[in-house]
Amino acid sequence: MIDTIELDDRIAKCEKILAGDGNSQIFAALADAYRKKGNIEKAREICLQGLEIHPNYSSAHVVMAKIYISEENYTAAKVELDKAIESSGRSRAIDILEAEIFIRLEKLPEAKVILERLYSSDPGDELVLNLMSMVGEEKSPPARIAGNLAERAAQKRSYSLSDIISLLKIMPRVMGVVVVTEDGLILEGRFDASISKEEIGALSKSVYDLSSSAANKINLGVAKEILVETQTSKLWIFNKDRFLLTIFARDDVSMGSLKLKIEDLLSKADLSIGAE
Amino acid sequence: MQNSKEIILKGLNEVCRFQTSVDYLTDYSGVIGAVIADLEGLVVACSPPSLVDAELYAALGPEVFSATDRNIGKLINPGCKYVSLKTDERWLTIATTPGFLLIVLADRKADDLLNVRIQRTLDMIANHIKEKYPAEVCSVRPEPIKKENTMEASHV
Repeated sequence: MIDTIELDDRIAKCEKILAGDGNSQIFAALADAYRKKGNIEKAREICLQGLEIHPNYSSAHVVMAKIYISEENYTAAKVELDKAIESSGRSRAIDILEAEIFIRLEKLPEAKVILERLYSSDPGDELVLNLMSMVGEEKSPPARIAGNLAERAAQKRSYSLSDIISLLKIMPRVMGVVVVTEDGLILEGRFDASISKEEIGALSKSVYDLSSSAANKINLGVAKEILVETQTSKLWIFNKDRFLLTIFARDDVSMGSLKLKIEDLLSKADLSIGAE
Repeated sequence: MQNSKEIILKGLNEVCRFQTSVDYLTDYSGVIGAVIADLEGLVVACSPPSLVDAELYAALGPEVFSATDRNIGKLINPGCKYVSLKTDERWLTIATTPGFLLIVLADRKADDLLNVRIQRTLDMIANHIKEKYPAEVCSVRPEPIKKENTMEASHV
């Protein structure tokens, strides 16, 4: 659960970034933080202002859809979600949100189609199972998944997201690691003092959206991993369905050992995120 | 004085050297296709020649590259030189060499040594450009300074 102090901290950081750069896409994260804090009016105002500058910013349309859901204006929420899909294609988070909107609009057959698809790709997703129960489709995790869960529990060690971030951060030449939600909000991050996790978080989200949009245009499917190299640094982004894991490193980082470490940690990861 | 046939043959040879570079890439296991595009998104060479959507990849390359560079440049530093995108099935790489982009589409399961071959291909392209279009030919020379109130200044 994200507490109020943490939200206040995020709001302060996002506002600072936005004050420094009025064109920053951080406005979406700021609006979402206000929404989560319950200040829907302010969230709407910030998001609409930002969308005037960035009308094709998919994450901002998703935040706007969530704001409309909070106001129980589900028709407007659906319109915003359609804009997000048009900008950067579908993602699991968008599908889940769309299913929820259909349920609220009492369009249960449409919701069922989406939920069946989501269920088939990840039968263990509790959020999808809950939504399925709302449309009268009670399902439980299949035996295989249940077995895997038991196996995972029986393992000597599993890593939380926080552990993974810390372990990756201490790798040589890694300057920072951050986890960003689908809507651009920072979940957690560790960075060298000179770097802001909010800024790298916003950057990784916008780079991911851009690349995803390009992948959609040439029918490549959903981007799972993006690597950007510059003269002095590397930005490595992993799409883990519900969030993006971003590693920011110097250009001389050992990619081989970093890759092995990432694969090892993610294979032992417990990636459940606390409910918002 | 070169006749037109010689000029055409010379031009074909240039294209072939770009072609050799992309063919070298598609020899590698798992590579589906490779395209060299100029910075305006036009196809310079592609392999295999029948590569479907070569023009689409060529057009998309500079768009993705410049937008990524703009985003990265705001925060880290400009000079993006390599973008790699992996989906469940595919691995798309866009890499730069002065004046051109190399776009490589491979199977996701292609091994990481493909990066070495991409780097070699970039070197081949860069060397070819360096030989054929040396800096003194390509660089923009400053306009000669014209003195005010001279005949040249008033007529040019």
